Amino acid sequence: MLNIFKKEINHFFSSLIGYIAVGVFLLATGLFLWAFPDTGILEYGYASLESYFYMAPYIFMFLIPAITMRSFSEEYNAGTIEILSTKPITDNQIIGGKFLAALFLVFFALLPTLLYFYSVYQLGAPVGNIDTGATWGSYIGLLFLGGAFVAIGVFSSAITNNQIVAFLLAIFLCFFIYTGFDYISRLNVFYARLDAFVEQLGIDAHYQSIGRGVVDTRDILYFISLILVFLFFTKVVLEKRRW
Amino acid sequence: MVKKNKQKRLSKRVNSILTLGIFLLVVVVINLLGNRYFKRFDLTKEKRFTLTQTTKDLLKNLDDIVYVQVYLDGDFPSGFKRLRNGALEMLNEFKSYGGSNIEFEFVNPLEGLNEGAKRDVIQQLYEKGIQPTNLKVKDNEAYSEQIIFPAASVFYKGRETTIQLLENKIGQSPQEALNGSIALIEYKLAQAINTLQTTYKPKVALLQGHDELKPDDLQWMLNIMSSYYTVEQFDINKHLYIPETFKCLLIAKPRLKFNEPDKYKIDQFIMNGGSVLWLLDPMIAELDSLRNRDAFMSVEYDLNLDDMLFKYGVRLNKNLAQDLVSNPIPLMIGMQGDTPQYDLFPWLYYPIITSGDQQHPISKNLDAIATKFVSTIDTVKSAGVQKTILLSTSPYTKLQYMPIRIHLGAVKEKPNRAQFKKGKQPIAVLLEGEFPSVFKNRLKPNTQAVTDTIAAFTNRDKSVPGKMIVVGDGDIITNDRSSKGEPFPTGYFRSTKETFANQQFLLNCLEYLIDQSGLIESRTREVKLRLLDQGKIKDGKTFWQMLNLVLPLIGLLVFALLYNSLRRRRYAR
Repeated sequence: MLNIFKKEINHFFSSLIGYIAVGVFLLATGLFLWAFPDTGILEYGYASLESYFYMAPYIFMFLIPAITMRSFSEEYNAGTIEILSTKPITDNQIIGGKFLAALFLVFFALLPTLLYFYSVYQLGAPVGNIDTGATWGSYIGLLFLGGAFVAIGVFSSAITNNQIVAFLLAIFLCFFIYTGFDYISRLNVFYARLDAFVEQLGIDAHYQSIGRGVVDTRDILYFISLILVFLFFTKVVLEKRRW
Repeated sequence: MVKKNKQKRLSKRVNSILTLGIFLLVVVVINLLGNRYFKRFDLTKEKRFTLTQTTKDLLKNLDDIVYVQVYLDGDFPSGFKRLRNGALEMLNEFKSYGGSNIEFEFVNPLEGLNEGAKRDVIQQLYEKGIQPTNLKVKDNEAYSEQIIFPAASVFYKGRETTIQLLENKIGQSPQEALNGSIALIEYKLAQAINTLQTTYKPKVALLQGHDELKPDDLQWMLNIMSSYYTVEQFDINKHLYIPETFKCLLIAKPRLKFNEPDKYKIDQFIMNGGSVLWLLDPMIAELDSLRNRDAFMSVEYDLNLDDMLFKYGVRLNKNLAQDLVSNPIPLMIGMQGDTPQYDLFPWLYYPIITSGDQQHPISKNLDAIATKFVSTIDTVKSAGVQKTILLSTSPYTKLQYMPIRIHLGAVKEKPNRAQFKKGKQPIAVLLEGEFPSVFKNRLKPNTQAVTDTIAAFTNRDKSVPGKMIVVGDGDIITNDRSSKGEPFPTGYFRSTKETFANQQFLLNCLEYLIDQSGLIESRTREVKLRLLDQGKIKDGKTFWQMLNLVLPLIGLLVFALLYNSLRRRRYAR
């Protein structure tokens, strides 16, 4: 698994795509939070990164599929998947390695945004007047959200050898699971009966819950389950080649 | 051979679909279990999302659906968004303990309505007790007005109550006000649910018999109180004792002497665990006395309560406080044709009380309170009684002792600041503990003989743990009336059209005195205001913008160059 992980990481950092993904993420959040007045932290006036954590999922929704779209599609195209399957590694290791590598890249993209935290920390009146605990909670939430999106992306990539299709499908799935359930829960059929349950199926409810700064085992369990389910789906898809 | 292969593939297929099914089942079961046995870690600094134990118990013991409708939906300034989010977070929190018994919805009551319909809705909400807030919203250089309702309705078993989410505080920045309001959401929701849940309303006795305030004088407060309590007039002269069914005795501005039997009845009510809210004016002072003359002498009412209060732990001073922070009164300055012209003049005998005990649930996050001719209270030593000063005057206070000449000419004199140096003076004190009886060893044998015949009454020398609040102003509970005779809210100051928090203060007092649920403790919750330093932003805006926008990108670029040159070097080798 470590070999796959290393190989993938190396691939990200030696190709342009990894840098573009991370760069676009940093540029987009930077512009929204520090340059544009409507969403800007400085104009908001409160010492918190709320707007960052509100916006980040939507940017992730595009960038994570861009990172993950090639993970299996490319292997199919180049035929390298067959080489991989002759090596003494299991499917689980391949999937795990690819998942962790993409997640690492998400983590790598998040690291520089700690600078936002530092800035708000320094700009607070008095200095340090930011709820540090709540901010860490939000970061944890964002990391889990990233993990879920990566799992979805890896799965999308596994079902097609066309990277564009994988990209678009991943965007759709991420968007749907992120907010779709929220919209569905407001349908009249569910009203006052199942709406809360349907809402809980979506990422948004859990992400917001952690984002407030409350780490709840239920939310963590949800994210881990979601990630595992999609990775398991991926595994089934890979096995399908041998059916 | 081919057949065998096919079979093998089929079994693989069945195998992997089977594992998938089992896997999904396990995930579902684990999540269901996890929903039952969970743990949460509140990382926020003020433990903002941790409900008090009382609220948790309240929510866990719900037996029907509580439906909360919050009238905050739509686009509004960030401060109100924070209030909405605060309410949303709190309701989510309620849901995580109350489960399916908590349901809520955010609505915009004015959405998609024409002007006429809007007016109707505003009127309907106003009748429920919800006051609209007008916001000036700037869009495209033009200001438009937006009406929002920072309030919610709570429904439970066909009953309904409303809560105001926004607490406006005089002299507080809007941000501070919003923050204080957010901090109070838990308390208000929990209290609303608690009120709707209790079919039994505790009984409060409004003492009569010593020329106390009549129900007419405090009609507004009685209306408000009636949603939480059953208030009954209680003429003490007609009863041998005050029954224990009353949880609290409200003594509002008595003006006649208490004789010893009446004092004994009150004393024993306290000894047996009853609470008392004393709203006392020790000095005769009414602005009406100045209607036809320029001055009057203020002397004391002979209430004959001093020994009693002293025994319980306070001394009500025979003085009047003058405070530089005070409400004005209107005075006629001349006639224009037939109509008299009025102007407002500072009237130092009407202190505005802004300094409450910020630790205590009664006075925490409480707005300013309007008083009229207020007297100060000293605490005295009384074993086993704990004293909390709830309200005090401003630091710019002057005390005048009896006899006091009060004259209108004072409004024209510029107060000499040097004289207002008494500092903060207590005007409302909470007493808690085991009160000694003022009649201990003083009871005449024949009285003793009478009391012994009453089965429902036990004479005690020392009280069971009890509470009382003494306030040095009786007018704090009164309400003005409009020219049509409609009562104004308690604390509404007609001449300045400002509403003070007298109503809230009195409700808090009553709740603290009567409440057994302990809900009022959640009033002490604090949400710290976290603002950015606008000065720093102004000075270094470009710097911070560049730092956060450009530095991460430069960092990425440097990383890219380093990584790839290292890689190349390794390959070159």
